[in-house]
Amino acid sequence: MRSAAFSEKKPVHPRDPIADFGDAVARELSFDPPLARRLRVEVEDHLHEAFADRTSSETALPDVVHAFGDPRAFARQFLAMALLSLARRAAAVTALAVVGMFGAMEARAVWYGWVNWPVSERLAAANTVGHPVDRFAFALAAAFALSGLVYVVTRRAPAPFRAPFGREIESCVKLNAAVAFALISAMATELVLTGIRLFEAGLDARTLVPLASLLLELAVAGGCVGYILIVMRRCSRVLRLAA
Amino acid sequence: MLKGHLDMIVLAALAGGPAHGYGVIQEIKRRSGDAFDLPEGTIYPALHRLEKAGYLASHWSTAESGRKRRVYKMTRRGERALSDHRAVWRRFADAIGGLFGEKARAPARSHR
Repeated sequence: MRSAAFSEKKPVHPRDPIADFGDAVARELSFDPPLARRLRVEVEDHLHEAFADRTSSETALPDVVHAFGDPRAFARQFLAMALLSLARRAAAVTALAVVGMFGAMEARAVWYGWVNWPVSERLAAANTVGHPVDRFAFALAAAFALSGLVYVVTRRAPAPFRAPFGREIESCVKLNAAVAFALISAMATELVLTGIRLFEAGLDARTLVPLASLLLELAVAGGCVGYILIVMRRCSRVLRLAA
Repeated sequence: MLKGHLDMIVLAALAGGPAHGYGVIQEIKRRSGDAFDLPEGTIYPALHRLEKAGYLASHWSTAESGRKRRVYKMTRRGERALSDHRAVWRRFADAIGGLFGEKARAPARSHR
């Protein structure tokens, strides 16, 4: 005998095939949320209109949805474009991060000169090692960022998606990850060198600019790393869908 | 047969004025005398690709039904691209016509 709870009928809401199809399209395009939102609205509008346009009253809503095709096959047509968009965003973010960190570093250097900040023996010794490391890491980041930017600006998305293109984009995103790593290295060196200065000077009005610029660098490098990680995750989702 | 020409066909359909995705499909069907009945899902990748290339611009509008609708229109760059496509297509059609022994038409005027 069935229990009362089991036999109790739940209210059944009629399913809307168009909304379901929109959900499926958005799910398949989840690697690019803005694109997923936009296409969901476009596809739902399309299907509603296609249904309203059918002259035969016998045409059922599921038939209209079926005529549109498979949501996964539909989403696959956007893979190349989505990958290139991801790579472009990553390249733009890393380029901005390089510019932002350069600005912060320069502001600090100008400030040291302006207030005639004394250089102690300990700081001079740290600078002999720290400065070349800092410069090398930053130069590497700038060179990688520039190459990534040139690649994404000049590259066009092939239609349909091709595996070599996927590998190229994957390499480009890895290049951006290398930029982020180099920026973190430069920032870590700056953190040590500026830390020595601040430790020696103690907290006073002079330390505000180095402190603020260091915080800015931290935020920029952290934001860049976080964004690159998101892009890498989305890229691997796209490549999995393409496989 | 349509493969490789879809972008040109979409641009040509939008030459008459702005339209949304479904409208573009209907326009292609109408202008081709029902010869080109495209699978419905193929039009959106083409629209997005052309927009990214700068040939189309799009914006949200509200349909009479109250639904949100993305409307596409051709940019100046798109008009130039269509004009180039048209010139290439006419040369190709004339060459094929010549092969079939048809008379070549007068050279197309530039639309720039």
